[in-house]
Amino acid sequence: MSPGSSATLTKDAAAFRWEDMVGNSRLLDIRDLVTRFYTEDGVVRAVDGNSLHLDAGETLGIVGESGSGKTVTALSIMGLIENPGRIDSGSILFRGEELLDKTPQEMQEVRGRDIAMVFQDPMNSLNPTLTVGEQVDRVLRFHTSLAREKRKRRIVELLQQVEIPEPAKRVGNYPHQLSGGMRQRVLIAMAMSCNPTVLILDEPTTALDVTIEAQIFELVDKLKTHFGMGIILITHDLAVVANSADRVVVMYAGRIVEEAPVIDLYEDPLHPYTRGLLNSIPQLDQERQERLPSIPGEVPELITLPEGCNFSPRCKYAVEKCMHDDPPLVSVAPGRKVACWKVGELIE
Amino acid sequence: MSTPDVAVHPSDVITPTVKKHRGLLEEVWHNFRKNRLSLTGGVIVVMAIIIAVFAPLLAPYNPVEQFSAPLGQHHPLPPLSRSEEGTLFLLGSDKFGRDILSRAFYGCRTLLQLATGSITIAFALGVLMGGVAGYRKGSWVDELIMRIVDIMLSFPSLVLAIALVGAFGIGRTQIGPFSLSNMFKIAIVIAITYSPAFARVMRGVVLQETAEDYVDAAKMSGGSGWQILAGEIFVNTIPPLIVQASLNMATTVLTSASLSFLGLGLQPPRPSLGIMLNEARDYLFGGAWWYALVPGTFILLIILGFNLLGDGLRDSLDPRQARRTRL
Repeated sequence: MSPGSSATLTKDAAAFRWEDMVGNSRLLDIRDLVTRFYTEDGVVRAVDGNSLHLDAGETLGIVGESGSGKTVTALSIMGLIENPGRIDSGSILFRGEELLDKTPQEMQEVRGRDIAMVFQDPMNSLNPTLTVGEQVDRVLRFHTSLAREKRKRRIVELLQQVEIPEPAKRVGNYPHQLSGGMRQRVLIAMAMSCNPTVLILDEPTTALDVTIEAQIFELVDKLKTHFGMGIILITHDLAVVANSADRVVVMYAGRIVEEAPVIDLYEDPLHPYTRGLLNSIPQLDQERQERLPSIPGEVPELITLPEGCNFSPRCKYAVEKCMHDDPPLVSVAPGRKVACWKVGELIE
Repeated sequence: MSTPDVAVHPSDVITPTVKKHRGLLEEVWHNFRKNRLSLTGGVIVVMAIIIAVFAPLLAPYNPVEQFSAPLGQHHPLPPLSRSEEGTLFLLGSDKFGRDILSRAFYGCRTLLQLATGSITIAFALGVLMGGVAGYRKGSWVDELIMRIVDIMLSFPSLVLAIALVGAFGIGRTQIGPFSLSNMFKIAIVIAITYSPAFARVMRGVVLQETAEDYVDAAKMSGGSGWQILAGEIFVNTIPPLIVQASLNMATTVLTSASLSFLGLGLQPPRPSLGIMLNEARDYLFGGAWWYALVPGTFILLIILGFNLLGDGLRDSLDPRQARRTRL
């Protein structure tokens, strides 16, 4: 399914995809994941009991502010949570296999081969002293036993796949000789080198300008349709998600507060936080307002989370109950989940 | 009209609008060339290396051959004097009637052999220790290695070297099928005393580099610790290590010469600048000025050369660092 057609999906068709097509197309199934960092200042609850899943051929957007736990979720999947961090409980099933039970060596093989990740900063994610070819070659050497000549051909093929002009020449270039967009393409080529089943993009275009951003997402969509992988797109940019994702998960202070097909989320956001986020985006087709509405207050420190709903101190709908009890993430419509006590009133 | 005060080099004029891209080595050479002092150091070092390599061709006589003093005179003979056999001592003779110039050339050879050998071993040892410690930062391996390094650094290098020579002995040692020559043992001793400096530098650079995103990216693509350390991080640690090596070269030369001077390094009759200085001690106030001056000048120039070269390399390999130190 191409992303273009996802824009014309009706609610029901979307619901059919998420709820019924499960079976063997489910790539990732994360349940009640708890990742905490035991720092000297206290326990940082970076990911606090979240569940999410990813199917083949879909793009799942994870949206949230800095520190909302997006990247930690991705690193948990990759098995790269380092001291003082720890995955305390939960389960991460990758095609039915428990990743949390794997040994570090087994995880090393999974990384880059089955699950690949592209980092947010293409300027620094490439080794400055190695040529582009050597760096793609590295990934091939990690995971395959291809002969040198075959690897060479594969590298050029990969660079061609990510639409780098004159790939045979670019192989010998150093990162500083490439533009930001080209570097991001190289990183995508590296991630694609072993045909992964899951591709995680962590703010892939934050460091790039808008035109290049559009090109990169066009490329990612092409690769997705061609190879049928599942993509997790981590971003703080709602516009990026609107254009590229099929389904969106909104995170706030380590928790998923809303999960919805992308159109539903934009047309009818349910959680007060999502509403606040969408309201704070300037709209070109609307009259100019005096001031953009913003969400009052600040994101809480993950060490000193408020009692009850994490968003309650900033929420205009908050009632007494919100201050004391955590709202569970409940299904409110096919494919739609919200964690809010007041959801009944918000739905209408 | 007067000439412009900015000198324009002809090559600058012809340069097309697009700035030509320089490779790393070209860039380093370009930076290095601008520094007269380090260029001088480079010239001295190159000359010392030429002398060392071609000593058998350049030296007028066999360094251990003894000539007789003419009747009525006795060794050491001053520069430009002749022996009984009629050979010319360009820079004088020593107390045994050997040609000082020839001995100095060969001494230069043994000194550089010893210094480069020990620097190479120290480099390898230090890189290994510092690399592992830096990559496993905070672990017990890191603690263990760095405490050993601290202990070694708490001794002055010459004192530590003397103690190690005392433990190893100076003669030839047979370990299983391997026969360790006197020179090889001295090289190892010096290498051990200098490896902590490399370990420190290496650990620092590795710490700095592991914080870079490309290391995370390599982890993401499934590299193991060793693969990342050897294949990714190491190439980025080379410039500071080269600087460390060239700066340490000077002190290694000094330590090598000092050990020989103390009789704990190379053994006579093998030509060594340190031994020559030691022998010259007895004649310092006897008017034989050339005896100590020749080996002393050789040692001085070699050390000066390596120091200037090291400084220049540091400045040209890391221009940012250079600007900081000059301020």
